[in-house]
Amino acid sequence: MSDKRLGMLIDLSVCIGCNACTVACRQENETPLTKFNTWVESWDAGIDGRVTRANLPKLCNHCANPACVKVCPTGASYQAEDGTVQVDPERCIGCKYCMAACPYQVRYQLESGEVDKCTFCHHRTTEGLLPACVSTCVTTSRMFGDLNDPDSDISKKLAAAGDKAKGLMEDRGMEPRVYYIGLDETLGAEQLSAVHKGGNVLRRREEGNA
Amino acid sequence: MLDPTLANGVITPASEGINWVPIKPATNGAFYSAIAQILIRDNTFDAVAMACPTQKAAEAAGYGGYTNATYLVITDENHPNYRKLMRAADAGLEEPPADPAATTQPTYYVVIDAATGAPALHTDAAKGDLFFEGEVNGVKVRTGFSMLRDSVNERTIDEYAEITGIPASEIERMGKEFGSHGYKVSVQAAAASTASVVGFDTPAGRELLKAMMGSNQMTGGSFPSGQSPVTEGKGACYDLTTIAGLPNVSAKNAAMISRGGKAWEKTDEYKNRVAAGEKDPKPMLPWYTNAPQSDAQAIMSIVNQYPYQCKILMTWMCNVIQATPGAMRDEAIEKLKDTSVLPLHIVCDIVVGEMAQYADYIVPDVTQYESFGLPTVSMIGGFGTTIRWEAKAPETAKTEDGRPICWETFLIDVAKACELPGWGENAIPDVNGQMHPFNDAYDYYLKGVANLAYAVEPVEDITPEEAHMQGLDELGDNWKKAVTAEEWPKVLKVLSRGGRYWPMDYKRGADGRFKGLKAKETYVYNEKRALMTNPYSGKRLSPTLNYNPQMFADLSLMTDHYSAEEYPFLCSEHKPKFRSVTMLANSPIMRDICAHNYMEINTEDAAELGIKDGDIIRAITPRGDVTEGEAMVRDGQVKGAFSIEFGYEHLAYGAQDVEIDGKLVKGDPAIAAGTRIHMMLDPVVAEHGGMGIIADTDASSPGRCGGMFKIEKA
Repeated sequence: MSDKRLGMLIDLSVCIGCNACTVACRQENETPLTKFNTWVESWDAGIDGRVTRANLPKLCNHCANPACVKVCPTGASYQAEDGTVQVDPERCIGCKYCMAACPYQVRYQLESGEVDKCTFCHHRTTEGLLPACVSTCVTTSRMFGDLNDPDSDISKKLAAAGDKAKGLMEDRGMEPRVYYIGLDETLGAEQLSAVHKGGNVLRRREEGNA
Repeated sequence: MLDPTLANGVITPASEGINWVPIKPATNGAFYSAIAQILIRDNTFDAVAMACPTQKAAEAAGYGGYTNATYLVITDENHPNYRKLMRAADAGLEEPPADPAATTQPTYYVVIDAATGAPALHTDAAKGDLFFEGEVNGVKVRTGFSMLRDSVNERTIDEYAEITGIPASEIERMGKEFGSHGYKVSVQAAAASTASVVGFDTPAGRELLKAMMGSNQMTGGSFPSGQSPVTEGKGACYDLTTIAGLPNVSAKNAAMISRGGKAWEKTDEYKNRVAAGEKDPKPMLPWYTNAPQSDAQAIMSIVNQYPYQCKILMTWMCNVIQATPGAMRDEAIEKLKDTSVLPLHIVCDIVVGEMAQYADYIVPDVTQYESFGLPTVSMIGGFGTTIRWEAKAPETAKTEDGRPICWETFLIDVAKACELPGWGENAIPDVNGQMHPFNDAYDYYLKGVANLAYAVEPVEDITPEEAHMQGLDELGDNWKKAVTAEEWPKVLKVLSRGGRYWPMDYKRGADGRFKGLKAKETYVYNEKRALMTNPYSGKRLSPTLNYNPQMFADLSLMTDHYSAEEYPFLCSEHKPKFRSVTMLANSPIMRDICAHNYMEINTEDAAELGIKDGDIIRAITPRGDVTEGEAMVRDGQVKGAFSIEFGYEHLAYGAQDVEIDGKLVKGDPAIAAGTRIHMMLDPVVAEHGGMGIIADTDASSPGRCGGMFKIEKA
């Protein structure tokens, strides 16, 4: 392992749910139709008597303790030197154990059989570029960098946020490396509409927002 | 943020200091009136700023703009100048001698000078009396401000609350807040929120509130945005606006086909019909005394062949028929297709949308990566302009001399064939009066870039290394010939940066005001509106801000025609995330992220109607127009109105089957998915034989929001 540990921080207070990240990712990674490496879930959220619009971008959490890697029988799912979770398509046999193991539901199977997901734009970050979703974010809600470097922008913002920055489902013990600012407020608010994934209904109102 | 719909923006559970306040569509006049009422009632408005009668007086008092609040208005119904602002002659005041060098002479209005209590020319007073009511020179007058106080007090805060759907306590809170920061307040309102039949009340109210706090052109207040050095006008190098031999056509000697800028009684038709013995003739479609050009009204004029037949229609990258609520209907489309109605229709576009579908000729255009533009974006606060330039060679076919086929090439060649001035050889003057050719897009846009490069202080030349790095040293002679050899490396420098912007401080004066301070007058009393009479009823609208319920073309209330009980719902439209006004439904990516839009309806309204999230519902107008779509039941929608994202429910644009040279090409129904608002036509216009959209009777823009609907499960 190198000293590097790549991670992402998403400030939900300024995510406007524009889905520019969704589109940039689709264009950069050429994911097939109906499959997304990242997307934004949006719903009306009541908080302290106010009606607001929650926007929650989702993607692979590149966990430090990833269940998907543990269950992979061939080693196709692995952690790269920079800490990111990757899939080697040559070794993937399409058994979908990883899809079942991932509580974040960020993996999908390609028509050719292999399982795919967000790579944190590995092909870009190894060339010194930001992931496509980060570089396109119009409100700089998404931030990316080396969590092990205390001088990186993301480390500084994480340090400033303190315990306000949290990962999804931290209780699962998978140590996600995508952090959110404002997650408690977002998930704690009363759900007041259906949840949309992009502009399509993901869950009807009565099904909840988790 | 006041909006019928919690649409797009930073009002999230995690954001602080910003709230969404639901407001019913087409009620902005009531909201602004309520805030103005509170500011006057609590005396929290800036009475000094409001009382400055000239820019000079305002600047001397530390402000950036003035109002006509203290100007006297003639209120004597028998006076020949009734409803007009009092002029010097009406008051028996002497005007200063005319400036023989000036092309136009100033108008001298009359105020009561706050210092002397006597009538004075507005230019002579540092401050006018805001409240005066009485007689001047034997003429009954009062100030515009005193009339405003009456008109915003026509209703109580509780009544405004009922109209807008905003609780009275919330209106009071906003009124107090707005009046408690001095000039460091502002109001933003535009686009969809102004688009209703009473849309004019929105800019009128917005401007009034800004002026009431003295915030215009003040740093931290209503600071101007969207300034740029001159690029496409008389710039530092070239004059791209002056055309020698330009035909003299204006609203003075011609009529806009959209019927704006002219009072009905000033039209040739009116005069001819009166001369022929007709008493009190009425037009087939309304005329709008003070309206600017309108594409929506133009398209309705074209299908009605009124006030004259449009023989050639040329449109570029727009889809007026889809973008005009209520216009995209069979009877209008049939007219567009009929060559006896519209003999020649040429569309230039990059896609074949509804407008192009019914055209006679389609000229392909180029995309944003293949074309030029110098847009100054008003929402960007800085000073400067962005340059869009041909980043890749256009992929359209080429003319024989190698130019890409696009809008500019088409215009240039047609203009030259018609021998119009301003095109071809000797078309564009430089600052030294030398003439340059205009034969392709480079000739025009690169001169605009040169103007930007030399503005204020010329930019440095690009270094050969940087030009090489960006591939700018590969640009050909067709580019270089558009500017001088000296200008070229500076033009490249600006292209390499994608434009030129100055820091925000460039616009801030040391005295806390906009550095480029220009005269900024706010009408408290709108004389133009005061004198405007409705072509059908002769009725007039209030010259000071008030609330107007929705009206049809003769200013009769919609609710006098149709039952508000039976049709209790309003509608509104908002910007889609995954479509544009008329485009992007052809994008598989966009359709994948969002297959269709929804009819967004408030949770309590839905419960009363027995509608569940996901039900197919219908909104029906009193004239039988049906909008049908999937319900999105949400708290982020105001009660009493439904809302949709525009840009959906295409009829053409690839959605439909077409036959090309005898071969059937199947359409993709996914392109047609979703719904659009099927707005009713104006029944009053119908009585006069016209097919007319409901429209703002001031601005003539379409009644996009509002209307009358009943909602039911499909």
